[in-house]
Amino acid sequence: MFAALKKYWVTARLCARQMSYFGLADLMGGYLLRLAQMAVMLMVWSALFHQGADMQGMTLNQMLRYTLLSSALQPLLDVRTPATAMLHSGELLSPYQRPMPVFGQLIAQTVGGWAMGLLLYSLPCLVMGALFGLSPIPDSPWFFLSLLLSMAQGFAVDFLFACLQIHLKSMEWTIHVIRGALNALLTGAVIPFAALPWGIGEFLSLTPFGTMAGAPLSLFVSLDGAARLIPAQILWTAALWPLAVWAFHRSRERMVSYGG
Amino acid sequence: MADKNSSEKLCFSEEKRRICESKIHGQSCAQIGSSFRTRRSSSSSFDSKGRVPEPAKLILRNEKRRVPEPAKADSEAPRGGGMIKARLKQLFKLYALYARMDAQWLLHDTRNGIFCILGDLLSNLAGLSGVFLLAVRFNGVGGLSANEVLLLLGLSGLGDGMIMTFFSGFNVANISRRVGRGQVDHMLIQPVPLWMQLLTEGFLPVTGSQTLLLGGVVTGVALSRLGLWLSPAMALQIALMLIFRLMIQLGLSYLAGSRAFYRPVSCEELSSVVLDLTSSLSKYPFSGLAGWLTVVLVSVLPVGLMAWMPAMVILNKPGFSLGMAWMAAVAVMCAGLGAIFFRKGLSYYGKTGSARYRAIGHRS
Repeated sequence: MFAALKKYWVTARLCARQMSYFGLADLMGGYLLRLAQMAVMLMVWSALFHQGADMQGMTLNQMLRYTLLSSALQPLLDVRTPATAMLHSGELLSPYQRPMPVFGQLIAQTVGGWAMGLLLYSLPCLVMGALFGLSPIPDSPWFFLSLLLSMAQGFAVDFLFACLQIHLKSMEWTIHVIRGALNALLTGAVIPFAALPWGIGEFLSLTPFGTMAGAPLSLFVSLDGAARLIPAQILWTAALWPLAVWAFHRSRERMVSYGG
Repeated sequence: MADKNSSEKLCFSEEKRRICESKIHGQSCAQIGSSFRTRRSSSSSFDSKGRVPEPAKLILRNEKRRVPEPAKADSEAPRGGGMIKARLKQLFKLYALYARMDAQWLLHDTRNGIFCILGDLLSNLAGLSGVFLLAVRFNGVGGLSANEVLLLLGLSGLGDGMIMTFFSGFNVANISRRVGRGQVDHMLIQPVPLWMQLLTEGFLPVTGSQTLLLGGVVTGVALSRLGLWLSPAMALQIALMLIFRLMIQLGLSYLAGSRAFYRPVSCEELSSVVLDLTSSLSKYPFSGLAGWLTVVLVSVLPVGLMAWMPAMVILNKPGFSLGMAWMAAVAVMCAGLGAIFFRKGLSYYGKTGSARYRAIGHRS
């Protein structure tokens, strides 16, 4: 079994090293963006509490920890495999020529790519948060299971978007902006569902997008219960993975890509 | 060499003519298949009797295209007011050209064009909705009511829309991509001044204007909900503030992007980071923040000048009477710094060039 897993480990390690190939400016630019967005959201929550807004039982500490963790774990909560970029560049043919499952390779590459971000951004953020009184320890132990289910669901959703890109004849940029829009509003990563008006949050928290980010974050700060969120996540993971495998298999013949 | 080529062309045409005439086509070779017009100089080769043939001209059937006039030498270029008039004419011609190209993309590939437009529209709607829903939920955010936040978001959308409509095509706003990829050479060999290329190439009035329209609609709705009437003075004020925002955002993008002259690979996406940062942060109200932080957000990192301060000026909030003047000053500074550092980078580029392209034509 170790021998079977070793090739995935080597793939992940290669991709971890690859993240630093283009230099510090390229690496830090994305982290700066995330840091600035997190800082602004932290300021918005602080301003809301100081103006005396009715937070309906939510505390400032909960909201700040929610925002901090959302930013620190953003790549894990919004999974983006290299599939869409590879389709655009024509490199997706390469995984088919290797003696490993395509999905396995994409997952290993993605997980390897997380290493640099977790080390250079997530860990310092959590440490800084701890110094300012924002505990990095989850309120509920169900958080860890929820995070695993969230990542599994995220991979399935990403493969489904790759299939959509195949059918739309490789419109990578359009797919990218649509996903960004959905992530901003429907996953609960930026604004907690409890902070949305008109009861929208109640509905969104049980959708496939909502359970991807909103569920583990809500469990982390005990904004919602595990009894409601974990079964929803299991259901969506069990439903989306077979769909993703089937759709990818059916879309294989329609792959059109170009290189250069 | 020109004479040799001309004589070869003449011989080839003569041979072709003889072949054509031997066949039963009923057409002269001059009217068959050629897609270009040829001219022979009077010093080309001689015919069989030693005479220089008359320059021949192929006449194309249904010819509509014209060979453009060669560019005038500098000594012949108009000067003073004439030059300004000529430049303006050239500028509008280029705008018309890029508008036509944008429309053609939509007409030739309508499905993909519509998907791109809808995708951008959805993305911008989502970006605006987040803060607005917060404002609705908590009866205002950052000292502004829900309708005032809507005005702020509308102004932010208008600013983003201006960037998308006038500067998003061909990575004009994301200048670090063109610099980092070694594509500045393509601009430098064009017979059009660099400033004119950068001003016109990004024009996407058909496929890039959905954000501008969305911003306009949201601003209009916000003004009507606030009971404000869009007077000519207010419209001029908004237009000026949008121009200031363009200057600030593009100035910062070019300032960061000029780094790509020195580090083409690692800084290729630096302008995108700056544009994304300023655009996303511009949607938040900054009232109620600590004083020092507000000062930073309207000076060193002037995201507060992109939508928040314009909204405060339009709403006549106390303490913002000098808002327009401050915005103008920061806009001039950002645009000036961007221009200075970009020129410095160009000068460095003139000495070093770009090593991104390999001999086989692929980018490394």
